[in-house]
Amino acid sequence: MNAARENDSRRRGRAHGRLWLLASLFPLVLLAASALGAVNIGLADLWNLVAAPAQVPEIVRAVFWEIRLPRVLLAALVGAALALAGAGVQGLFRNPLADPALIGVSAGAALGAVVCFFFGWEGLLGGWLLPLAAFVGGWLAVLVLGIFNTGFAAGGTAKLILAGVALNAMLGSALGFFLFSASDDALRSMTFWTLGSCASAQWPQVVVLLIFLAIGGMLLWRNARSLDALQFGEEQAAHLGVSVVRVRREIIVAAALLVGAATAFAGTIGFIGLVAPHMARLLLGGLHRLVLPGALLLGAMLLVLADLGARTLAAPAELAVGILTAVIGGPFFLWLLRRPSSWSA
Amino acid sequence: MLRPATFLAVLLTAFSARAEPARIVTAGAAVTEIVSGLGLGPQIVAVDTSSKNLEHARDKPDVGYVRMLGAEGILSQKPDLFLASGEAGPPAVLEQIKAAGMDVVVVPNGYSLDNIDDKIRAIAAAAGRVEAGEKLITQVEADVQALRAATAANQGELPGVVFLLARHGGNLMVAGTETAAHAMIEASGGRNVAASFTGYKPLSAEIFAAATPDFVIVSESVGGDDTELLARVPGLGATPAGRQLRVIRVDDAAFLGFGPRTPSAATEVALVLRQP
Amino acid sequence: MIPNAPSLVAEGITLSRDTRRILDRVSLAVTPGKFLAVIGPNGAGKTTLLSVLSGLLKADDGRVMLNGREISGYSPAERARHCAVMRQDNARPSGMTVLEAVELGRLAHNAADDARPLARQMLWQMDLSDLADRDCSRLSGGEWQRVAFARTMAQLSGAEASGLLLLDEPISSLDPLHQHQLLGEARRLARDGHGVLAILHDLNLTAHYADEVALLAAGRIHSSGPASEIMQPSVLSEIYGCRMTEIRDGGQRALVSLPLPSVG
Repeated sequence: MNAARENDSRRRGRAHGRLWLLASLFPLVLLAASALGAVNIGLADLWNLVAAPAQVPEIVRAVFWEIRLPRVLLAALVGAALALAGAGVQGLFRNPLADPALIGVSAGAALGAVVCFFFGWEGLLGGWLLPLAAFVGGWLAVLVLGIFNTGFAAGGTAKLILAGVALNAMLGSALGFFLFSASDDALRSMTFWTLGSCASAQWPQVVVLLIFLAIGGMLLWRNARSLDALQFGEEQAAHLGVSVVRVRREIIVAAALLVGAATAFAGTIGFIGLVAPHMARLLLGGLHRLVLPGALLLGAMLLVLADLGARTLAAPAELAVGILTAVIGGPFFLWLLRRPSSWSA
Repeated sequence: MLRPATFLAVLLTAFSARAEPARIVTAGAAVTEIVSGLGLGPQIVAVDTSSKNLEHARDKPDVGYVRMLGAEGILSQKPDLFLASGEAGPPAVLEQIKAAGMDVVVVPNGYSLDNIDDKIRAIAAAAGRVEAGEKLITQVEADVQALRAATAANQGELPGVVFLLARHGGNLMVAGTETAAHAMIEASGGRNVAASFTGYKPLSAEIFAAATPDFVIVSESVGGDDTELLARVPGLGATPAGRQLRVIRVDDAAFLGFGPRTPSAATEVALVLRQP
Repeated sequence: MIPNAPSLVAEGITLSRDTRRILDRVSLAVTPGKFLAVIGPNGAGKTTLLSVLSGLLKADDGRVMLNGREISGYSPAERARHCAVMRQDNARPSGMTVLEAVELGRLAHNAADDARPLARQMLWQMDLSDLADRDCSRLSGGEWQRVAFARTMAQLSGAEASGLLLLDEPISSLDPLHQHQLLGEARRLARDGHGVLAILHDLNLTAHYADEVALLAAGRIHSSGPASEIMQPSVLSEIYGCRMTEIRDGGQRALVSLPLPSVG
């Protein structure tokens, strides 16, 4: 029994150690991404920006404070939001292939944005109508899905997933219709939007997204233990004291808040919501008190690095960040999968 | 903590006295052409991808797709003027460039030959080359007059025309209304047979059920000879009308760009359409 | 609370799905200190009954009282503190150790700090200490069943008033030694004052461990009472449609079901 205890604490310690490692890598990644870019800002200037702004050329100050820093932070927040939502949805559906897209938020948000482009409204409300439309679109999709969040004796989760599939297909058709009917100009804007990008980052968006991340993250965090229990199956979880329907509602609401807000500001960005939670599980095990912060950090770092690539690899041109998330995250993920046992002792 | 607004105000005043720019970044092929037409070609330090096809812009750095620009990429070229066509974006990126203290001039877009003068005027004003601008306008107007002369004889039934756009992967798209191609077909004295829809749509044989075109206009960048091209167009090559069909090849940037070369490109097409 | 008042009472439970009646006026009571076995052929409605008794499924008619209160009035967490349930269909999570799985038995209990030592104790009781750090996904079916039972014991520990333990075929994957071990623990919990209800298929073990037996057939309670009365070959042969004979060994009751088709 003593040996077992030692083994156990060592392993638990290892998972915690890895989480701390991720947490300490995160500021380094942020720092590196803030220092690198098409406009050269050396480490010395980076320090001076804070310590002695007067010594830094005005153009560098402007680029750093108005363009680069909000963009790096937006990328971190978008990545974190998508990964958190993915961790929640995968835990809820007990399905490793579950993606936040499964609950229809992404498609709903895309439809909201596309409608906005279709009517040429994207510039209204000082440019805020577009994210608003995307967010509302995502929410409407989730509200429809919420109708199917009923009891669980008759396979509630399976029903929810099927409803999500049907909803996605319907939204996809509507999306196709608008894409087909759109003018050439609008079509190009829509296509660009659906590729995803953090290039439009501005401070107000960073603040808004931070608020959404805090709310969504708190909703998920308070259900972390329930998500653990749900891994035994919904009925067994209910016997352990989980209010399954309430937890399901809260997870879906959290995912909708997170994905809706992230998509509203950065367009549709795939891969992170699916893969970052898996990375967290492979590194840290399945307990959601570790998976949630792990996914948050991994998702944030992944998108910051992908966005760094998007703005530097072809500089002065921009690459689509969606291409790079998979290029950067894919090999790392495959490596994790290949390791004989990332988590299991 | 730094107050961004304060130094931005300083930057803006620094640039408000408009001198002739030394470093220009352009986005949009027509804009790039006009800037060159004003004799400012050497001052262009970077262009967007669509301008890369222009001979004099081939060696300049590429700031990317005109709708997917990045603020920092453009600023890294240290321009003192950023000239962009109306489709340039995303909007927030243009805002960011302005916020960084750069001079940003967005040139209105429009599928009309009259619009070219406005573009030239706007760019000439922004670049401090009003005189050169007027000279370019005179030249463009002369070209427009030549086009009018070429199409004046057209009476009654106008020749049916279809414009095929080559998209990525070699797919051919048909130009409907509300496209630059539609405007150019009309300006050249033709009638767009695919006027039942807007935008560019994938080829479908049904488009030609109502009206058979006499001419096909296609970019000179599309490979293959005319027979091969027509074979790719379902429901067209096999019809009697299809056999008489003639293919006109155009330079995309000149024909669709609504820049200084556009009126003469239209005249070339108009002369072909006029032939019996 | 009156001592030995039943902790769980079901009265006239009736449930239909479509036109099929699954449970028909089922009444039973689980008394603290007693081990009640529910037996019956496949499709008799045993698992459905368990879902109704544990408050997951609402009956069309009848009521279920848990410690004197209608079970539908409990919140899931409150219910979980009174009543621990081990289902048949327990999914095996990956990325979770056995110890962590057992700790989740304490989910509804507010004092989370005692979860770790308690979980260890339950694992030790179930002879599972060596597996404490094994990932759940790598357990055999039988090992996982014992872990699930350990978790259920952890959940029951310190239950308010007298706790209730509901087990749905808890020994279906176990070898004989561990069948005895698990049912022995269940009976011990009954002796400690908890009410225990277990759905069982093994008639021999039922006869050995149960104090009371309810015989469910086609959605009805065919008969119920002390194990010695119900576990009669004549009754069981009729219900299961299978010849039964009784073999006594050294004064102890033992029932053996012969796997022969009923004589036609």
